[in-house]
Amino acid sequence: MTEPRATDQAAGGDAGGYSKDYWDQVFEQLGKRTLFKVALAILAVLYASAIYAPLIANDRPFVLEAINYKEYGQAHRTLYPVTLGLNSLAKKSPEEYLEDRTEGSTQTFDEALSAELAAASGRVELMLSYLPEEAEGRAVLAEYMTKVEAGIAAARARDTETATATMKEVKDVAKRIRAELAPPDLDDPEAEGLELIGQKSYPLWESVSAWEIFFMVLWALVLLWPLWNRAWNALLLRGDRARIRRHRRLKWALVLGLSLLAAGGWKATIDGSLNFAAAPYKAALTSGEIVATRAVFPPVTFGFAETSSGEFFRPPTWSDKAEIDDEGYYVRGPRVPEPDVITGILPDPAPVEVRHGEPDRNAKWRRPLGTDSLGRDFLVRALWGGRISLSVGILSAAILLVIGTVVGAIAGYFGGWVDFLLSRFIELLLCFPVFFLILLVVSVVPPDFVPPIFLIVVVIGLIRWTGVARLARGEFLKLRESEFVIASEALGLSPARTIFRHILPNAMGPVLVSGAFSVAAGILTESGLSFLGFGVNEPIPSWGALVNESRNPEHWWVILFPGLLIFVTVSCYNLVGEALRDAVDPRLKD
Amino acid sequence: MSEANRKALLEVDGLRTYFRSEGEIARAVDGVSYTILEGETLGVVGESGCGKSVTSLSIMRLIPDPPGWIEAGEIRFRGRNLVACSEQEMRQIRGNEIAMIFQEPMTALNPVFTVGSQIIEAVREHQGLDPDAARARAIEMLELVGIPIPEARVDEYPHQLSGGMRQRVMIAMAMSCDPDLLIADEPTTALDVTVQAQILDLIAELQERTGMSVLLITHDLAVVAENAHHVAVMYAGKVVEYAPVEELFARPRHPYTIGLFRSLPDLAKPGERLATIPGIVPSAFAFPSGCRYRTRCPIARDECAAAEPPLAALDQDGVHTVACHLLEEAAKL
Repeated sequence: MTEPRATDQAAGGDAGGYSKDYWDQVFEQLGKRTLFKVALAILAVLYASAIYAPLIANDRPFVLEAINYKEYGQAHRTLYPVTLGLNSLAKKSPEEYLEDRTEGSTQTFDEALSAELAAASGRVELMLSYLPEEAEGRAVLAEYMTKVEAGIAAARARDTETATATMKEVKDVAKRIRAELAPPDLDDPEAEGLELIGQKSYPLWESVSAWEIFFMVLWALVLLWPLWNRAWNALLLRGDRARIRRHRRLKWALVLGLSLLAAGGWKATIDGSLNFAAAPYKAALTSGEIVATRAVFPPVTFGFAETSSGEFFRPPTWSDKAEIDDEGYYVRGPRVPEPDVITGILPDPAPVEVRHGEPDRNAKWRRPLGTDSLGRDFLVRALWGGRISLSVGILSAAILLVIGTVVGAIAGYFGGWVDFLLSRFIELLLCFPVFFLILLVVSVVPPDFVPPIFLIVVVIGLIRWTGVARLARGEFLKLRESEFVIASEALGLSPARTIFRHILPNAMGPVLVSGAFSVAAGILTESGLSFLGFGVNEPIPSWGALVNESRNPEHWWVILFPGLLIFVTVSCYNLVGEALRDAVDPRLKD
Repeated sequence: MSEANRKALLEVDGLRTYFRSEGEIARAVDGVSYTILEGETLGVVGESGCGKSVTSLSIMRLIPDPPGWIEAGEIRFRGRNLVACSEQEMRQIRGNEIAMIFQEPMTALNPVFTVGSQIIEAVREHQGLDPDAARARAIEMLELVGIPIPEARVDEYPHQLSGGMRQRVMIAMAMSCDPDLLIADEPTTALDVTVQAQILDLIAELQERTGMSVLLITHDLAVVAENAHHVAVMYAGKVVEYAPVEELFARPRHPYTIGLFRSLPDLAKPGERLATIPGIVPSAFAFPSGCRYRTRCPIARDECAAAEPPLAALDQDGVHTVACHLLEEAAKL
């Protein structure tokens, strides 16, 4: 291995130390462009903010160590009625049960017993989890469970007499539980109550799905690529160019593999799923239904679906128009209530509610981007909205790039009647107004069958490939006549190999640029459709849907911030596309 | 091996390749016949547009269709008619048995791949070698064509190499599967004079080593004199004279061939204006009746317009054939 290396260096001595291969050159060219680097950095941040949105802005805490008095109280309160149900069931013979059971029910006697047992044991376990190790109540609960199990066993054995007797004892124990294990009265802070201990839970992580973990790990590895790549090259490969070149695919495989592994592990253990509903934790913490010893919230403590009754259309809190006085009145700005023109009555404003973990009512950073018509935080919705907007752009562009390149390549390479037919088909498709076609498809297909956002992606991908196809066709027509293509045919290579390996990389420049434009166009289309109300379903945000929240110029933040995000993303894609076009063409190098 | 028992490797027989352009038909190749013997070089000379390159592309069956097609004729390679072969069969022959190098080494290599990967691709396609063996073969081939430090050059891109180096790479690529016939379509036209000689020497040396045949297409008579065993002179889509190289240079018989020799600069008479052949090559859309050269021929008579002269042998053994009605007058030129 050392021999060729020595000659390698000797050969490329004046050309920069080593013979650069294609990707070395592409990266070198890209590295020379400041504008490209800036655009890429902005896009990386935007994608990161979209991917990590659940960890940045959420109304669920990462870790919650708390006593949920409400939960405990509910279990305690309902244990006695459950016991009564058990009691009445145990007294019956199976035949009596079948006679008495609700019309239409198919539950058998044994199944009914199991259901009642599960209801009772669930409540007991919940109560046990809050009771300290040394608490006397634990013994009572244990006694309760032993007796319940004995009674159920007797009922299963059709020994109705024993079952009835045991259940009677159970009822007495349940009465004792009702009296002795009652939670402290929340409304009366003076009252002495039962001492409970905190429960540890991870509500935020439970709302994160395996897919999200995949992208989170993937993006972390991609963003940290410069770091670990350098370490890998220096330590493992000791700067050997040939080996670095061969390890390139391995690295990508490793990044993808690690992400998949993490997602798989997540699926097997936590397997969370996104919950659209606003979480109860903050309100409960504020009211005291949950008493926390430890609650770790994300940096921004608002959920994307969390409404705030006092803060409809609140301007960004750093602007002085958002100030609220002590009674909850807006001092200045569009939200100052005005007396009714006819009656002269001043409407009663709802006071702004500040929940657990939120910044103060008048803190400058409380609502940096303002709120919408339901008092939902705009910053949070913009963060989460990027997930829809950015993925619609990428996915639709991916579909149309693949279709467009393949069709354009076939038309350009084979020419003749194949080209004639495909070109006419492209012209036919060009006649379709995409926007109205999407409107039509979205209104025809029921939204619970396929979510409209997928329809938008698919329709954009299936219709908009014509531009890419025409570009690819033009490139192929041009390159088809070039000598290196004839040379590859003269070597006996198949048409597929000639098309995809020899012509395609040479034709990729314009196609890539148009791909970058397509991402931008896809984002714009989605924004337009969402603006008209045909995109995402409430309460899921997307940038276009955010702009749609208000058309009142007084609510300037509603239009400005999402519009700015769309503008910046689209511009960055165009910059990246142009830089790529120049960099992937090796002929432009010195 | 003596002249007499050399077998024919490739026989082109009455080949006609036409192109359609805006409703009219261009008869680019209109009845070409020649033979390439095993292990020998056939030089094909002629002006631009006389059908030299179209003939070679027809042999490879690489005529773009549309607009071109092979109208008639046979191309027999080891007795097998290539015109009747399927595209599948041709793919096995191309690169493997007949290889080709092109005029423009600047554009005949794919700019986005390393030269090594382009050789490797050809080798793997036809010989089924594994990647490491194919790479070793590529380095070996680069070394064979005289590229210094082939281990490093194998990973370089065409734009990093000089024109002469690229032509060497093209030759390495063409030679990598040990073809029986190498078609060299003006291999030195785009190169510096000093490099030209090196490339031609390289082809001759490789021919010596492997015993392959070479079809050398050029418009440079000096190149033919140095390198070919037989020469076919083409004019307006036809072969007008075919002879062993010494015979042709000693006794050119067709007025066109004689005209070509006249237009060479004579080092013994410096300062004299070069002789030219007056007129222009007739258009392939409308060749003149009878002998196609008669419009420019200094000795043309009425009978030349009446009938096309056949390619006829001058003597008994038939090594020298000429297509001219007025051989006796031509001999006096």
